[in-house]
Amino acid sequence: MNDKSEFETNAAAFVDAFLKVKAEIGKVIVGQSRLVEDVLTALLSGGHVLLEGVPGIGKTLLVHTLADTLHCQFSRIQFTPDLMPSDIIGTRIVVEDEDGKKHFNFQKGPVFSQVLLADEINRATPKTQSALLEAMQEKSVTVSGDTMKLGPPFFVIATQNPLEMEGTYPLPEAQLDRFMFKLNVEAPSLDELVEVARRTTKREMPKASVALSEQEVLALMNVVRDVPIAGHLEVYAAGLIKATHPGYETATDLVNKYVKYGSSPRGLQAIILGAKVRALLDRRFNVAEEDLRAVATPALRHRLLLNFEGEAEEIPTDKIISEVLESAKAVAA
Amino acid sequence: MDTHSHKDTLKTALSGARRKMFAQSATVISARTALVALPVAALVIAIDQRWGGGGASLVVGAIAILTIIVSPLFLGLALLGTHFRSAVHIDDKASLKNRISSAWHFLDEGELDEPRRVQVKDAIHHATALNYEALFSRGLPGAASVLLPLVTAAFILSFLVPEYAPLEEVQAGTDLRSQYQLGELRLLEEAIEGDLEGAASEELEEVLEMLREMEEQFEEGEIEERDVMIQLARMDEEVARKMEDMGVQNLAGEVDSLAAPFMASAAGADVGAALKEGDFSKASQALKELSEKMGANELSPEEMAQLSENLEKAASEFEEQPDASTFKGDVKKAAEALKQPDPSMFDDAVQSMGKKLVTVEKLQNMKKLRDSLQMAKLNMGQAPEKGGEQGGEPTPSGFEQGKTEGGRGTGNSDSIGKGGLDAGKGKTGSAFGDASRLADSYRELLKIKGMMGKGPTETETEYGETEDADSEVSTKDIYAEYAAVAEQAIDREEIPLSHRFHVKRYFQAIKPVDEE
Repeated sequence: MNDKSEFETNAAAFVDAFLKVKAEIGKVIVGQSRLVEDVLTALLSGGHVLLEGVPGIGKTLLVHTLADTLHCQFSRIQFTPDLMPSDIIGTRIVVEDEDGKKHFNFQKGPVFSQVLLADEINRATPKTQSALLEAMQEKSVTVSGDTMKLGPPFFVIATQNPLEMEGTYPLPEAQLDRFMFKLNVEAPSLDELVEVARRTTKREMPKASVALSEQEVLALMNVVRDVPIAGHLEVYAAGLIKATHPGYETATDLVNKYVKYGSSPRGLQAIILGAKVRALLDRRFNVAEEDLRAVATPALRHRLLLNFEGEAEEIPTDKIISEVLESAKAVAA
Repeated sequence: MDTHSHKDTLKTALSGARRKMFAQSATVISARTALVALPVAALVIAIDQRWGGGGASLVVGAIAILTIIVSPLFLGLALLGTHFRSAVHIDDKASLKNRISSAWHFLDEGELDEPRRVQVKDAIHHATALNYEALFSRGLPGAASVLLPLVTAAFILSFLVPEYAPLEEVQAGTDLRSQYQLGELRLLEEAIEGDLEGAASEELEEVLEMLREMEEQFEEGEIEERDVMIQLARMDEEVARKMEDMGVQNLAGEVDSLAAPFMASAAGADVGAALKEGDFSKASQALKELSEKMGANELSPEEMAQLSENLEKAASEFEEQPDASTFKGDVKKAAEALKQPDPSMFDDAVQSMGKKLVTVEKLQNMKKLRDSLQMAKLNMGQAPEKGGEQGGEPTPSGFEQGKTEGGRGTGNSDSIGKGGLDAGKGKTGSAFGDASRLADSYRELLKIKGMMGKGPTETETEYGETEDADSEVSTKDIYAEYAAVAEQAIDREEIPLSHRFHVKRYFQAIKPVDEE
């Protein structure tokens, strides 16, 4: 007799599904285990991901592979400097019906998909980048007063090259805040490079199979949100957010010196949701302090706005977050 | 299972853990407290035992033990805190990743939804499966297990610290010279005390008091040898000044002349004998009895005539001096009174002589005091720098020698045969003094001005032609005696044979020629 509750069953199914998708992605993507975990975490938490890394290290391939594992509608937008918002959202065009009457009809843009790859997002102008604001936050698009829902799970994965490269436009703060995680894609190691070469220089290229349907993804997203978090851990997570605000009593020296604005409440949401996924993956039914700490860096690194001094000295936000985590007191008893 | 039963189950599991936690934290706190309290208490107790008489030791020890017992109870309970706090501690200790604390939190919130119920069940499962005995072991932390026996031993041993017993003579105990000098001062005091027993004297009492005070200061190290010397010199000067003020120095010289006429007559034989002995009180009393005899007509005319004649002769020998400083007037008056005979007149003369004799006695005492002071000064100045070279510590025996052995022959050309206290009175003494005393074996003849010792001294050595020396004793007369004393000293002391030879050879060398 199976005396497991529904939540326990769902939690177990979550872990199985997660690992299944990860394994499928692993067929194509060499290494990058933590990166894949974080991307899936963001997907199942209902967030979006910004991948940053130099060209040619598999960012786009990762997203393609992820789309392959999900039985979801996938579209890709290659951001260029001349890309217009309407190229993303869609445009009204004049069409003639059978009666010969002409009227405007809305031609949906690539944003109308379930998994959207915004490739090299920082190559477009800020105006075009901002076209995704509503879609990412509200998961809907409004054109000429008509609001259209985007198909769940609407998951945006944007890639960008480091800002110092030519022909890039920094993302607006509001746009950045919409991303749950900002993940840095590291160059593969020597062994990983060798494996990449092996897999991609054969006649048959490896291909990921579909692992999850749209409905299964939505179900898993609900499981994540069911994971309970105790009050004292919520206070701890909120304390981390407040510690990124210069002038706050728990703010660290680096925060006070180099940060202009700390994280928004979206940062707290991102940390808690990400921690819930990690708790499930650890086969726990509660969020732990270490879960919160584990996702704090990808959740906050793009939410800290440095001041002029911080920008000038090129202080890495990861370093500031690391100091915040070190100075944060243990969970208050 | 409802929320309450979940909570009871978790609470039961936590209670067992809390007992173990309390025991562990109490053990650690107790050990830490002991590591601080026991050494501090041991130090305080050791100090108390050593210098405080040990009266407070038990109280200090009891406070330390009470602190070690009580502080873990209070601090252990304070650290234990609430059940939630214990849950956080257990999570941390057992790496349960906030399972138990989260469950406690959910249970505190009230009704549980399904995910929370699942979580609580999971937490209870983990909480009951824990081995709290191993988790909260009561082993002592780190070096405490080594240090604790050591500090406990120190604490116990502190009660056995012996009480401090100060040395009575700090200075003399470490410095033979000071010890010797201190002995000289004590002997001087004893000598004066002996004199005081014979006859009360304000001057002697005053000097004795000053001496005692000075000796105490010297013993405590408050004053140095130089200060002692200065004070002795001042005392000597003060006594000399008082003697001079009395203005009766001549009386002392007339006493011997006065004794003869009384001795030569039957009636005054007692008076003469007392004067000869130097017992002036007795002489005064004998004069009084003589006067009473005359008043009672108990003296025969022949006796009175004989005494009168003798006294007249003596009076003629006395120099002309003021009445207060000579016996001449009194003697003449007594002779006249005996001739008449006039008992009343004789009584007046005798009473006057008695008073003068008392004054002479006082003068003699003061002179003796000066001799003592000077001798003490001399001996202190010649105290050995190092003791024990002759096989024993030097003994400050100078005064005893002077008193009982007839002096040690330190007299210069003005005072042959005199030395030490009561110099010249000894009947059987040796001019060598005590042969066992190093200082007596070599002595320069010095007339010292100022004082000896560390301070600036001025010495003057008087040299003179042999024929001009005041010594009236020929070498051959005393040679045998000196040689005999040297022989005795050599036999008495442990002197190497080679050195004995040198002494014998020395006496052979100085042997007077006509003896050979």
